[in-house]
Amino acid sequence: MIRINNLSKHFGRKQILNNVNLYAPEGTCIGILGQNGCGKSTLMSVLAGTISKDSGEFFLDGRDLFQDRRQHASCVGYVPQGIPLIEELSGMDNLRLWYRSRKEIRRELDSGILAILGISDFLSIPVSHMSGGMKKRLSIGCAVAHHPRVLLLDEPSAALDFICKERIANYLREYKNQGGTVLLTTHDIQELPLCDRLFILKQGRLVPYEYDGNFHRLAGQL
Amino acid sequence: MKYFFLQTKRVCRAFPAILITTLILTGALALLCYLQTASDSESEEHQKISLGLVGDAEDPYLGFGVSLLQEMDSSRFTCTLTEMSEEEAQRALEKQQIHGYLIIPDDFLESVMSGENSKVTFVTGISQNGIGTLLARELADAVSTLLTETQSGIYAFQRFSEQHGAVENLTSDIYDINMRYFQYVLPRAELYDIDTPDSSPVISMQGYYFCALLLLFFLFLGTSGCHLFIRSDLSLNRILAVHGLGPVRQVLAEYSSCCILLLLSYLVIGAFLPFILSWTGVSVPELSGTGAAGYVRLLYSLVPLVPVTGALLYFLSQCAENLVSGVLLTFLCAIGLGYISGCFYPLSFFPERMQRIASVLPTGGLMEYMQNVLLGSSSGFLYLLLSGWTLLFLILACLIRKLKLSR
Repeated sequence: MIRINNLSKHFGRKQILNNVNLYAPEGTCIGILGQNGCGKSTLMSVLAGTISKDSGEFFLDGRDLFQDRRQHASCVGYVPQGIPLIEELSGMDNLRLWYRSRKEIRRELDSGILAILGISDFLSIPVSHMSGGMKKRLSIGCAVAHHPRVLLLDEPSAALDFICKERIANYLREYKNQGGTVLLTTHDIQELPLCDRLFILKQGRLVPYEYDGNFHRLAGQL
Repeated sequence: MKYFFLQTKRVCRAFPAILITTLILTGALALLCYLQTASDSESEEHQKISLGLVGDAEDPYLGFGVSLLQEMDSSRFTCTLTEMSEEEAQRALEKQQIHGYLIIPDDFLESVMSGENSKVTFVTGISQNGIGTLLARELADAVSTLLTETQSGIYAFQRFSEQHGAVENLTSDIYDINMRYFQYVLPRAELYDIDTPDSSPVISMQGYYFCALLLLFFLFLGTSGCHLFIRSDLSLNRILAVHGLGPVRQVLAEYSSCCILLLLSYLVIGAFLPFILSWTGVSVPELSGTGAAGYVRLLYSLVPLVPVTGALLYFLSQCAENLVSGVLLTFLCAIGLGYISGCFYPLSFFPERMQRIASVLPTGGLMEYMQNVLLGSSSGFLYLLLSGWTLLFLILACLIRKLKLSR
């Protein structure tokens, strides 16, 4: 299980995250909603360790990952909004950066994570020639190479077609079933059923939200 | 290590395109410089300083002095002296056909003989305050000095001969002294002396421009290859940093791949250079007669160009926020540094202060290093200078990367 305690972050005079608290058991998916610019990506970046926090703790099974960088790197996978890939190289080359060997990649392609993501179709294409969906799936494939227990996804389905979204959703279900914890930010209501719990990030704080299928009510809450 | 290999792989993939772009850039610039130089020297031919000479044209000594000036190598390519009357000279000056005219007074010769200081007057247009006028004034000084010295010498000889009764062969003796004057004072080899400090060997002009073009080629590699090292989206680098590949290791991996790009380009250019030189008919004296082994040794000695320019170009690409600014930055730096370091005009043409600045710049150091290699000499200071710059660029690149990742 993961627990986030009093996480704060400010940029200049603006307080982006203000004592954020969150609890998520294993095998759950937490959805974080909010307006553009409310700090969802900052929250993900801070949890991923790519941006430093002002204060706060990020516990995984009682161990503060912010204090143990090595443990953090091995337990957390992160897919940012940008494309964390080397554009000029092929999908296979990008995977090689994160996987131990070609053999491991082949194994995952045959019957593992990469097979579920459907990456084998475009392995030899340079990233610069890939579609947005291919890039996103490849990014997820790279992020989970070390089998992290926590997966942070920053708007994973933004600008993707329905088939791509479905592939990613299938993968996340499988990931949850294997005991992984997913934190994802989204603007897409199609992703909401995937989430076990929803939070709205408002004025730097996480507010729990129960989605009842009423989109207008949700929009009003944001 | 994986990151380094992947960076090297992408560099190798982009290498042919980068090489072709750089060759086109360098070739275009070399052609431009050549055409500009050719056009300059052609227009200079038409821009000789024209001076009118007003005085007693019948006087054989005045005529002699003038003919000397018109025959001397150092003056015949830079000025034209035309004997004319004062009215003609005034009209020519008004029509700007001449830059000015010299008035040699009628009693000039007598006054010189009697030790009086009769003045030669230089007349020029009031509004002409340009460099042409300044040059004309200098030339006027030179003309009057030369005329005075020549005439004084000949008159002194004539007076001496008359006083000592040696008038029998005076005409032929004066002719003889004129010839000696020509022989001993004015021959082109003895008109001026080229002094080189501590007798060190001097690089030929072809050798100099060989170094300049090679340096420009390296600098332009930065322009055509900078896209490989500029990332506006640093999400991959941030994730790599979380996974233990921090800014220093990222920079070292990328810098090494940058060096590989430069090395590959250098090897290709080095392999084809002898053919290019022979095809264009350019002969570099420092390279001729070295043989294949000597040429390979020379290429090997020039390899330090790679890490130094690599560090400079990598640092510049890290300063840029996006591709457009990166291309502009590397291009302008290539042109600016190339100019200051004497890639376009020999450094000796620049003021001393600028030469001193160039000598401590990385590109100036590289120019000097390459010239040393061609001449077979070496300097410990240069190694120190170039190593210092390389280290500085890498440290700055690491700091920039760290700053960018922490944003």
